[in-house]
Amino acid sequence: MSSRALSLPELDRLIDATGMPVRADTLEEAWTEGTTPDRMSPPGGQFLLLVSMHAKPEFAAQFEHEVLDFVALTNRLTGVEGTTIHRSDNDPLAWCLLERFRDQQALSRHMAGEHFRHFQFVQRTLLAAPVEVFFLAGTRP
Amino acid sequence: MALGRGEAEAIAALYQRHGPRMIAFARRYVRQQGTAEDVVVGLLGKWLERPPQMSDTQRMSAFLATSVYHAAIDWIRRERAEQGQPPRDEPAAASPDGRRGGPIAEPPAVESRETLRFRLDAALERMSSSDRLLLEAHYGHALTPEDCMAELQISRAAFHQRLHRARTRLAQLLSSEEQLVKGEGTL
Repeated sequence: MSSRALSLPELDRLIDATGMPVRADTLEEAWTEGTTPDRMSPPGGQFLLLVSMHAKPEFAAQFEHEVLDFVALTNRLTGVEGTTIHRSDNDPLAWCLLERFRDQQALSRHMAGEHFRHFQFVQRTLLAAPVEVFFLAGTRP
Repeated sequence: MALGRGEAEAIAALYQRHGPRMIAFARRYVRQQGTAEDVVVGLLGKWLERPPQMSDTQRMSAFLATSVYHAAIDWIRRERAEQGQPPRDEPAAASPDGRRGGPIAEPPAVESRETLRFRLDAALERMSSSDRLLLEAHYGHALTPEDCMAELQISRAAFHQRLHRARTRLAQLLSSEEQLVKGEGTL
């Protein structure tokens, strides 16, 4: 390439390729501007649950199979806005569910389902301790 | 710190305290409320798998701003890729007839994304803070133009004029950085 300055379209393409590094101070300023109370949406009727589980070592593989089944069955239900499963990189026996439900009815339907009853049995058998459930959005029924 | 160990209780507490702000901040970049929620829930999931790295001295607002911003930008990149638009890191890919898109990528096989990023970082270091802010707003969408104008206390006309100057200055600096890189390579 010659030593001439880049044209502005060339500059735009370069930054499109690399991304523009943004300083933490700038983002913090944006955070202050963008998260004032008037910019936050009022809480809707949604439920967001975080469920923390710890499998017994001897049942690690069996629990993995069961929890993946549970997630697949949950995601088929009407009103479920997405259930995801997350396994800790640091502790392969530690699993968390993030479950989103459109409203109270969807959560109730989920909790009344056969898959839910089966998973409660699974928990009693395969987990080292009772699950911990955190309601991140919505109030515990 | 419990958050740094990825403990579910700590992540839950963080969301219960800051969740609405995180979603509002994500919405600046992805626009739709539902998508902003997806971005933030995705970020929580990532933290549950790999605990976030947060230094003792880092302010919570800076940590959350940086985390949510990058999660939103990653989401936008994935969307672009899924919609068949060229990923941002492949703008100069060969066209079907083998021609290249433009001279900036010349020679694209030699100048890696990392090298380009290194040159960009070095050039930005030589710019004034206000010029960087203009570029961060324009290219990084970190601030809206209105926020940027308010921060710099300038009019819209001045914003566009100064942004043009900042882009021109950056283009000049990148050219000189390239010469430096080439010079070092021949030593």
